[in-house]
Order: sequence, then C-alpha cells, then structure tokens
Amino acid sequence: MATYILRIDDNFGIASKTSAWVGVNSAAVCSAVDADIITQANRSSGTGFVSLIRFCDGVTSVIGSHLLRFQCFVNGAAFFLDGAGTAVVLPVGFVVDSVILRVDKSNGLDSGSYYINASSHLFMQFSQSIEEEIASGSVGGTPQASFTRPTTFPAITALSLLLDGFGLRYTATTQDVVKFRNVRITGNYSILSFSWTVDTPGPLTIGELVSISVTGGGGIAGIGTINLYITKSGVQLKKTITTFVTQTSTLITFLVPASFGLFSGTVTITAIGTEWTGEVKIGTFEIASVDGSGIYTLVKNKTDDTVYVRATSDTLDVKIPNPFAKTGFIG
Amino acid sequence: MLRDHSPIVISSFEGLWQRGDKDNTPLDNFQDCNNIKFIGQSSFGTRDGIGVHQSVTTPLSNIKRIYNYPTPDGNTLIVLAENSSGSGEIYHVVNSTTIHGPLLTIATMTDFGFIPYAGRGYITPFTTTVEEGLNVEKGITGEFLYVYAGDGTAARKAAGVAPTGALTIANGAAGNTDAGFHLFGVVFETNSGYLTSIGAITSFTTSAALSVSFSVIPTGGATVTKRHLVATKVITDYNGNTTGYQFFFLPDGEIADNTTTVLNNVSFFDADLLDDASHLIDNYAEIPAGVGLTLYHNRLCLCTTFDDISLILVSAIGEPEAISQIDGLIVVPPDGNPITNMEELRDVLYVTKRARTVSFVDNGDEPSSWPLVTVDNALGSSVHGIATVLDSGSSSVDYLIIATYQGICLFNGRYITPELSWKVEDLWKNLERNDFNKIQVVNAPIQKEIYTILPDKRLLVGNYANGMEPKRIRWTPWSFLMELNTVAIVNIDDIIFGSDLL
Repeated sequence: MATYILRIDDNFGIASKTSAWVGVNSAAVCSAVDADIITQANRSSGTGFVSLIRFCDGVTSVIGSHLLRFQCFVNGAAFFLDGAGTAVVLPVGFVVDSVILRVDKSNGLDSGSYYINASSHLFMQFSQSIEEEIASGSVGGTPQASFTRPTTFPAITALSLLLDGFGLRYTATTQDVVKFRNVRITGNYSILSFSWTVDTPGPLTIGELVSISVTGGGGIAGIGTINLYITKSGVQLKKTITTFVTQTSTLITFLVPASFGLFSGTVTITAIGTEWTGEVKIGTFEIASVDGSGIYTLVKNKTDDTVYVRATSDTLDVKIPNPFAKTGFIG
Repeated sequence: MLRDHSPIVISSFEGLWQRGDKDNTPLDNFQDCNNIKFIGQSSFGTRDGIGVHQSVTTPLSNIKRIYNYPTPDGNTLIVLAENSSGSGEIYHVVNSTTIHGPLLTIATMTDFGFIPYAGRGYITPFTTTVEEGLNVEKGITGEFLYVYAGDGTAARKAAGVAPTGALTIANGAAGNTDAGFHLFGVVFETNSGYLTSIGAITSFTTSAALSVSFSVIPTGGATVTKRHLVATKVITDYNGNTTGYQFFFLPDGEIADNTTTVLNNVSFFDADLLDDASHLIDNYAEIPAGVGLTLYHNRLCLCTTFDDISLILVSAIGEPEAISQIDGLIVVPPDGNPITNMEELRDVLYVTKRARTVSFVDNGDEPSSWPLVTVDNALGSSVHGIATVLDSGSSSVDYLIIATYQGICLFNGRYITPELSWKVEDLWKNLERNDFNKIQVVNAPIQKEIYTILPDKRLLVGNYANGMEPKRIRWTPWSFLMELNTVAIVNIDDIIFGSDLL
C-alpha cells in the first residue's frame, strides 16, 4: 500500500465557477480569474501541504449558492505519489483504495471561522448528485477540523476523481465572511496487476474459450477492451477483443480469435477498464496454431460458422458470435 | 396486465440506428445489434452462417483481395494471398477443389486491380504508401499491367516489345508493286491478340514488275503467335525518319507462326494498303501498373500509375493492351490526391478521387480529346468504394452505390442525399478516414442487400427489401471469429468473403 496526494495545479485546476462566485471574490487578491484562484490554491505552507484556497478577507458573501469546481485537465499529471516532490502521470493499474478530502477551516493568515453564520454551509461535491456538507466547527488548531471521504457515500474511484473532479459549494444565507484553506486529497492507492487468474492457460486453438477470473474484487465488470499480444518474427502483433462471451464482476470469457496466423506460443493479455488507469497486464495463455484465414461462403440458413483450422488441416464449427438486438428506450 | 397500462407494440424492426443521442433511437430501430438478418418486411433473426469455400488439403490463407472472374466455363475467383515471406501471390480459384497458381508473385503487392476481358484477366498490382500521413494507393514502381490467359498458366506482362534488327529485302519473282522507295517493318501479334509496335524497319526500293521477298524476319518471345509485315506507300522524298511515315499492313504479309523467317514473292500496290498500322508506333511496350481497371466503350482504362496519380491510360477499342502514349492518355486535374475509381454509368465514364468526382464522355475521337466535366468537388470514393454488382463493379437499376466520406450514397449522375447510410451516420463518421482504403462494397440485388467491409474488418449489411431509401434500409453489423477484409459476389448471388491474418 502506498500513498498519494492530489494537488490543485495547472493539471487539476478550476473547471468552472459561477458568475456569482466571481462577485464574491472581487477584491484585489482574488480578482475573479482562474489563474488567480489557482495561484491561491497552490499556496503551500509546508511539506505535505497541497493547496490553499483563500477567499478574500473582509469581503462579504453574496447570499445564494456558489460553486467552484476543480477538474483534471491533462492526463492526471497532478498526483504526487509516496511523498515525491514532482507530479506524475498515473501509473498503469493505479486504483484508489481510499480517499480523504480535507479542508481546513481557517486560512492561517487571518484567523476566523470558515463560515460564521450557522445557517451558511460549505459542501464538497463529487458529482452532480452527490455532495456532503463539511461539518461546522470551531476556529483554530493545526490541522483544522477536517472532512474525510467517504462517509456515507460510495467510495470515490480514481476515475471519478479524474473525470468528475470535485466541487466546493457554498450556500450563504447571510453576508458573512467566508474563509477556508488547504483543500487536499490524500489516500492510499495500489496497482492492479496481481489479482487476475487466467483459468485456461492452454494451449488453446480457434474458437476455444479463454476464461479470466479475479480474486480480491473489482475490475472485470468495467473492462471494455482486452488486447492480446503475440510476438511473431520479432514483430509484436495486437488483436483487440471487445465482444465477450461472459462478463460478470468476477469472470470474463472470450473466444480465441482466428487471425493470429501460423503461430504457436504465448499470448499476453491486457485489459483496459473503467476502474483503473491505463492498460493492465492480466496474464498469459498458450496458443496452438490458429490460422483461420481463407475464403468463406455465406450459406443460407446455416446456423453456425465453419472456419479453417490450419494446424490440423481441418475445419471447425463455431457458434455465430452473440447475435443480439437492443431496441430504443421504451417509456 | 396492469390496469390502464397501454402496451407498446413494435410491429417491425427497422435495423440499427446510430445517429445522435441514443435516447432518441426510434422504438422500431435498434440502439445496437450484431449478427442478425432481416426476414421479410418486419422480422429479424440470427444471420446465416458461413462455410469454407475450398475443399483442398491446403486451402489459401491470408487472403487480401478477391474478385469475381467470369470465364467461358463459369464463374471463378481471382484471389490475392500473402505468403509466409510477405509477398503477394495471385491465384485462380476455379471451384472448391481446383486452384491454379500462383499466377503472379510480387513482393510488394498488397492489393490489385482486376478486369476480365474476353476470357482473359487483366491484373494491375498496387500497394499503399503513406504520404504526409495519408494512405495513398498507386501502382507499384517498376511493375506493369499483366494479362492472365485463364488457363492456369502464369500471368505475363500485357503488351509486348517490338521486333528488333532489320529485314533482308530483295526483289522477288515477277509480280506487282508501285515502284519506288518504301519502308517495311514487322509487327508481332501475341497470344492475347496484342499487336506490338513496328520494328525491324528497313528501306527498299521496289521495282514495278517484281514482287518483294523478305528474309531474316525477326521472331519474338514465347507469347508471339503471329507476325505481320507492314509497309509504307512510295516515299518520294525520304527524310530519314523511319517512324515518320504512315505504315499499313501488307495484305499478304501475315506469317501465322513464330518460327518462319522467310516470306517470298509478296505483291502489292499502294492502293492495296488500307489497314493502317501507324498507331501501333506509339503504343506502350510495357504498360505501367496502376490502381484501378475498368472497361468503357470496349476500351480498357487503367488509372493511377506510380509516376502520375492523376493519369488514366485508355486503350484502343477492342484492343485492351494497345494504349497509345500520346492519344490514349486522359488527365484529371491534379490536386495532390490520386484517382481511386473509374466506372461507367449511362454511357459516361465517372472518375473519383477520395473527395472529388469528374466525368469523361467518349466523343468518338481519341481519348485525349474527351471533354472533362466536374461532377462533385466534395464527394468521391476510396479504391474499392464503388459497389460491385454481380459480375462487375457497375450499375444496377441505373445507379451506382458509392462509399463516400459522407456515407454510402446512391449515385445516378449526382450523389443523392440524404445518403443511404443516414440511419447509421455516427457509425460511419466514426470510421477512421485514413483507413477508407479498406472499405469494399458489394451490392447483391437478388438478396436486396449491400455488404460493406469496414476498416475494423467487420461487415456492415444493409437490407433494402423494404426499399432503397435512407429511412427504409435496415442496417446491421456482422462479426466473425476471423476478420474479413474482402468480399465478392459470384454466380449471381453467392457471397464470398476473404479473411487475412494480423
């Protein structure tokens, strides 16, 4: 298990803000442009510190609801892993195990509560439908009272952080001063690569089922693409599989394709999913010669496909791959 | 049934709809589908299966391209396969158990153009090069148009070289000529009927009361089956330019073999010299390879050579290998894009580039004088993007079906919008444009279906049993365990697929 910190910088900066919010920050320091706010967000005050949002002193809030949303813009090069001093692009297989969002309630430069009026509220937003109020608390102390995710909501995934970012929503019911600082995301991560099992190590041939299961949870349901790699005559060849025979939370199966040619050897399987970043190696299987290329004829009312199998100078009957039709939405 | 619940009845299934927001998919269309076929007017089921086409010990593998090849004995296939060393090999697949070849092996051939003519097959090898990031198809440098006799013998270069050397000419026995200075020469005739350029040109002054005897008549290669003697009329003021005069076939100057070197006692008057042979002088001895082949007014047309991607070579009428290097050339205005297709429709030769369509009309004169008309400056097609109909890439019911960047379009002299693939516009627009050279289209009028090989090697099938209209045609993708990269139609309605390797 290792730790990461997500800082707010050019790669994870301001995605949007309301015009009303601009109005709130109309003083000199925060003059309502993204660059100024990012600068403020990046004001670090020590090791481990990540960011600072400092809403201007002495400016009264406009009554109403205001949103500031942070989002990752460029490949997630905003993550600091294991206390490193420079940001990195997320490593392949990076998956968030835990997430803590923390907001200090005072800015350190000007003491005071992050909100004064008990009827004003600060929320962390994680999607269009999920937000949670930052609990109110007293001023002072280091670190200030923090807000930790998750509490009652589903865990935040790396993907949701990268795609959705997060937002700060402030609901002001009075024209009170709003102050807080040190918005940071910290937590533990792991690299997905060890929990896959190829249940069918082979050797396999055309049309046989490759079965992959996962122990330790997660991952398979979000797989959209599996890539198969072979090296033939020193050249790496790739075959992409997007149609699966079975796909559950613990099992995925697909058929050995017929287009690898006269090849016997090891096939490396990688997957691209929605629950981690990049293309993750998930195992290998052995393959016998699977050259199914050739000349075929469409046969009226034939209920299966017959393919060439060069290895045995024979043919093989295989099912027609997953016929289906999905209608438009009803209702 | 719940009280007050109004059931939704879907009375027909109109195929795939991939156009705009999925939420807006009409109820009688499919958000997604695969491997289905349409039955009757409103039903669907699992697509038909495929079977192997060859029943031989070693069937062809790694298929790159298939064409239908109608011969006097039946419909056969001409097939390009890539061998284990990466070279392109062309085979003639006669039926499930008989195969000839390789007829032609070229290391750099990744695709080819083909046209059958009088039982023979004309083959032009080409390949794809990347120029400024774009895939460009053009004839292979240093390669040529080939002719295949259809009998299993190897394909050979079309056309042929002229005779060389010189004749030995003397007065023969008593006979008749117009006395005076003549030029004589020899023309080879090959086994495909091609007449070479005139060679072995030799001068001789004939005498009025004597015939002419020829010896040391050159012989040709193995493909030469006949030779013809040609002559000018009397030249009164010879300037030394041997090819600057009009030649005619000598009426009795045919030698019906490739061995005899003597022909004695030939009599002729200048008035007997009627059959002009002068046009042969300018013919290509070797016709450079191009990308596409088609027939227009019984002329063979070849486009997109390695040296000139905007050039079309047009043969003499009825002589597919006789292409004049002067009069037989037509040019589409160069714009950096190669010619991709040529096809005749309603007596007009339509020519496409990837995003342009022009036409030429035979005005009865030499091809170089044919007028050019611009048809569309935005829409064109890729190399196999004009649908094959039955035995040839051609029109059916007075239209062409053309795969353009806009979609699969009907073409009747202009592109008809909305395009046939209107219902699957998103699918089409998401195809990698630079890979449109992998698209191949076949129209099967009997099944009322259009088969289109997509760049991702799936098949897109359009059923127009309910009407060939953008909103009536029913689309569905088909996928297979292997990947398809070529499709052909033979014997009226047999659909043939070819699959290659990674």
